[in-house]
Amino acid sequence: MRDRRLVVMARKDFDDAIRSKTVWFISGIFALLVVGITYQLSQAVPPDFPQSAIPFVALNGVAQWISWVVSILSLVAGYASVISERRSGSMKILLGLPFERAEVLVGKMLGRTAVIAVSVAAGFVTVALSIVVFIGVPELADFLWRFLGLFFLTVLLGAVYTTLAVSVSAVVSTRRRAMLSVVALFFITQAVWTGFTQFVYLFFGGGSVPLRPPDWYLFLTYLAPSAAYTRAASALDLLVRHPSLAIDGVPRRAAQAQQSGSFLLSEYLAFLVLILWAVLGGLLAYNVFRNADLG
Amino acid sequence: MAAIETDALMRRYGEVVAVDSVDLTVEQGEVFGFLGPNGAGKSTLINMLLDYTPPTSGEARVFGHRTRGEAVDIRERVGVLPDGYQLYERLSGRRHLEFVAGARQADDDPADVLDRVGLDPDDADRNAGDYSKGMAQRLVLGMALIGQPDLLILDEPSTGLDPNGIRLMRDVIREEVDRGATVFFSSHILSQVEAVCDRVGVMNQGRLIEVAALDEIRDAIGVGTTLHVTVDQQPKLTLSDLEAMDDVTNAEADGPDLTLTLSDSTAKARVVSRIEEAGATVTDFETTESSLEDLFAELIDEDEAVEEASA
Repeated sequence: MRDRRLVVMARKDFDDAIRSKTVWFISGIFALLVVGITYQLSQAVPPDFPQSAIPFVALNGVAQWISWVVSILSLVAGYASVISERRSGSMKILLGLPFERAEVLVGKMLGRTAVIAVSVAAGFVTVALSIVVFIGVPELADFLWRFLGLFFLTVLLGAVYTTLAVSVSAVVSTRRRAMLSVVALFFITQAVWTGFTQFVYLFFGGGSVPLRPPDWYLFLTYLAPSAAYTRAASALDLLVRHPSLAIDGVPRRAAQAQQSGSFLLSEYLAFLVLILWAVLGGLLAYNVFRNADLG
Repeated sequence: MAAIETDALMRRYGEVVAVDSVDLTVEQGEVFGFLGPNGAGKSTLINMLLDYTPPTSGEARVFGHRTRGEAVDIRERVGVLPDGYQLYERLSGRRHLEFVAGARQADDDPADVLDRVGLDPDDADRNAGDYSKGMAQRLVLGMALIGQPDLLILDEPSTGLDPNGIRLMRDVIREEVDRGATVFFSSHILSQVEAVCDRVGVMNQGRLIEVAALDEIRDAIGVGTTLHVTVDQQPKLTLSDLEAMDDVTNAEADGPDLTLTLSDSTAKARVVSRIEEAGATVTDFETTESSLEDLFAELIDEDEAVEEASA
């Protein structure tokens, strides 16, 4: 019975959010970007490169960009989700119904994640089409599981950022603060995270980060959601080893993490880190929201 | 078990006491009018009943369920028309009704609900963002009725309604009471409360200053029907003789003009015939029914006078 209410809540939020023009605008840009990247890659492949591996390279290339686009998309789709309902008063309609506050939050997280999933699915269909058009039909047995794996992982990344955005939205008192907070969240997790880890290294590692840093340092850099996403994605075996791609195809950090064998740098842990972001963010937000004055 | 019960319920916002130690009981099956000027604390109290707002101290129970911790049990039995709400602009009116039916696990037919609140089925398919205030108010009233709630909490329900809408609101309230529901509704427009309520509570500056049946309040304050009589000569009775009559609460004279306050308007015929029996001819008479507005203004004046005296 309680699950059904959660579904009702999530469906309402999905219906509401999927009608937002902003979400579709960003999704459109996402699709265009994907077409552009695939085209670029198809042109840049060296002539001696094994044909069968090109689609993987394309997927991997797209994955790097996806983490940016999906995080922005999720933050945009989620930052107003709770606060705008509080400000406008539609929250009063919501909480006039038999929903727990936790159900309101989780329902919103699920509903918005579903919207992101639709948008990501549209993006991935574009990826598949672009690969077929610009590169050629890939070998299905090798390609399909990687493709679907990356899709689900990307939806998970979207879920993490959506959860964080809804959480931010639930604890702030104005829409403007929600926006500033998600912009800050974006810069911290995407842009300045390595700066932060370098700062930590300065204290605990002594000095600047060496060319081959210790595992614990790499682990810190992989704690950011989008970095954890790329780390987890390497389980999909998208990194193709080829002399012409020695530097561009496999970044040094990824290669070291791949070879290390340490649990700290495993794909499983990266996967758990992603889930942990969502769970911790959600719990923190619930702790504030449960006693908030929504009148 | 009472429908609504509050014990020393209090809510502060910084220095401001929005609701000041309110003890209120609303029995099941009654229509309770909750009155007070804007800013008196009515909405804050309602917000606490529905657990939108946690109380600073004290406790409230609805059908025996505490608002803190058992809000969902409360909301399962309560239909709400809140104050200062907004609809989901991108969703149709029909989708709103479906959402509420889903959340309440009720199988109400949206068409019936639309019919009851007088909304056109074509309008129900439009996005709620295009609704006028009156249409929105009808839709939210419809949403509050879904699932046959045991208690309807209506916060300023007449906001944005035209006279037709107000009449409809009144009819719906009567239908719901006949079905066995309790209705608790707040208003600052008193004539609307007068038409449907069994009992009223009056709030001012966060305090509940009066709870009584309407006629009790009339008696207590001594305003009701006022009878103005003009006589051709002094009748052979005193003002005290008139005041001793049933249902006459006050009598004053100013030359040939008598002013009598009646607690029951049907007493006027008896008063006139009594004066004529005493030897005077009534040349003119007129009655004015004092409205709830007068009662209300009087109550608040009294309350503020008491406040000043104690300060």
